[in-house]
Amino acid sequence: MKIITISREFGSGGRELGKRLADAMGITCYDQQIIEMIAEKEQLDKTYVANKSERSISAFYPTTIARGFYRPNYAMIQSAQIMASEHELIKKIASEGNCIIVGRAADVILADMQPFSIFVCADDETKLQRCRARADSDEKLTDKELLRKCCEIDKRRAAYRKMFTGKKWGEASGYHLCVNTSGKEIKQLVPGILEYIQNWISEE
Amino acid sequence: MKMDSKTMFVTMSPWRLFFTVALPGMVSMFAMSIYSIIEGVFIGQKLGEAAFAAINIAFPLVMINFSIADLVGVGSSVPISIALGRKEEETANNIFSCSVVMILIASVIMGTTMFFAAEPLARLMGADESLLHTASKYIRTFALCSPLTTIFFAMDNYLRISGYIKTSMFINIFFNASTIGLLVFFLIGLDMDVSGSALASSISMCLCSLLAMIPFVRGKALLKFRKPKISMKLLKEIAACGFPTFMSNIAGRVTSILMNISLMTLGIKVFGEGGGTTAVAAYAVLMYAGELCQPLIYGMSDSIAPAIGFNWGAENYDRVKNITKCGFIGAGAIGIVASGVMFFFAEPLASLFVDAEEVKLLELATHALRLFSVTYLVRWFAISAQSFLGAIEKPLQATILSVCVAFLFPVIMLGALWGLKLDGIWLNMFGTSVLALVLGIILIKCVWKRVKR
Repeated sequence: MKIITISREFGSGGRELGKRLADAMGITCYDQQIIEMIAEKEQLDKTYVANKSERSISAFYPTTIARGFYRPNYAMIQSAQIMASEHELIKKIASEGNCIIVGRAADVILADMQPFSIFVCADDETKLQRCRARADSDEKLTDKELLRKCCEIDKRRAAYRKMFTGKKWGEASGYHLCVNTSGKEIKQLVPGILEYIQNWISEE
Repeated sequence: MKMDSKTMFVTMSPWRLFFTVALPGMVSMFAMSIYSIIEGVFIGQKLGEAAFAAINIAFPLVMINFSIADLVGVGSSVPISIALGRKEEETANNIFSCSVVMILIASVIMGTTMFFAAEPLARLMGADESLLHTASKYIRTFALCSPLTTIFFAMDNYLRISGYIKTSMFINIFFNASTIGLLVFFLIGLDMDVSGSALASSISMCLCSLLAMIPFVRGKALLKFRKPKISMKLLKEIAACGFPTFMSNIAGRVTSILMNISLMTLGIKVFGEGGGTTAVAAYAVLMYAGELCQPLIYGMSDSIAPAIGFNWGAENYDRVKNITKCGFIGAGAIGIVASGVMFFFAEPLASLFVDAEEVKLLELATHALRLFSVTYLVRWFAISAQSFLGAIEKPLQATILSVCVAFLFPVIMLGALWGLKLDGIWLNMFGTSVLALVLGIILIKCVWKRVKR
């Protein structure tokens, strides 16, 4: 049984790679579905869950905190709940059979199952291209703004991962394979990666 | 949070939602600060001007002692919630036990220091010879009870994390009732001095800490005591999570100390010998009078925060805007009413906290209250803005605003209004609030601009 996890820089094509690998291997790739499943399970809004997941949890209490009656920090408690429910779901999915899970620090959460972990990155130009191709037609962001947004999302992902492990997000030694998709079409990369994974698994 | 409150956040009309959640929030917050107002009345009426001033000078140190427990309490609540969520009970129990031990150790150290260094510390915070004895007596009483008092707020936090919301509310009500009861007993029944007032709060807190510990000791709560294993990583994590709250706490206390020192200096300059005491006591009256309306604004802003946060996360920005607008209008209305009441009823308000025989203090406090009343025309904005930024999880912006309001702006205003002497101090919070209004608008606009894209 083999689980593959994909961590990715925003806009680097990690999701596409996951999907194509899964198609080639005949297994399921979980990405956005995880959000939908949690939203349904917790009876929460989908956008809300998406915005809460993959980001670190912070606590801010008003300064009245030590003056008697104060409310618990709902935002924090709910974020923790969503995170917990996500972890539970990821573990459940992984225990059900071979699959690919994109993002959500799945490699750390599933560390016990020793998943094959991939990190996908790309240069700014490729990321921009990919974002533009995927964006709505009324997208008005300039290149600079778009890149800043990518950077922000990556920072959030890094902070989220940092909550569970000492290993840095995106540091090569934390993954089995790092793929740079700069200037390449994902389609072309799939066969090579697939072979690498299969060799790796059969070696074990 | 239950399903119904989620639906309520998304579907109920903004004003109805506002009244449904904000009114109970305001009432409970106000109810919980009644004891501090009654305490003010007792100290002012029964113990008089000097005691009033001495306590006001000593109080920031007492609060700094609490802030350290808060740092650990708030800081550990994040990793504990995460660990509980991940069903890693051992980790959660360990963080909980470590935190309790750390708070105990810190409060023993702080308590010992405060006990033995009470006099130099009181002097440092502005007490002159006439106030030194009373102020250090107040500090020492709190110092003696330190380990069991400081842990109260953290234990309350842990109770809530473990789901004992009702127990926590009961303990808070008990705290209020017992503090008021003990105040009456010590100050009127036993005719005690300032140490009676310190003892009343300390004993109530100790009792409440013990009550709050019962579920944990009996092993019934989600969190359980175990042999703590402290690691550097854990310490760092707790410090990082609790830092924003700690910073704004400490900043506020340092400002109070600076204010008291300035009041002592300016009071003597204006009224001669003993004028410092009168000035500090008048300032204490302002702070207690503020307690009459501030909890209402805090309670309102905090109780609509979950609704704002929820809609923000769901990207219902129009709804966020509408609910926030209700919050701001409500807070503004309270602020303006409070301001009017303070201005037109300055004398009866002041005489609530001042014995009628202390004519000079009553006169000064009335004058001060009139000037101070303008504060609340703008002050509500900073509170609402801070709560809003916290609700939409912008801790950095919220911390910037709260540290500026608690420390930076008052210090700037202290310098800028120094020429107005005591009037400058009464107007300090007004100036601070105007600056906070500007900063708050800038911060919220920045956040909003990024949403629009």
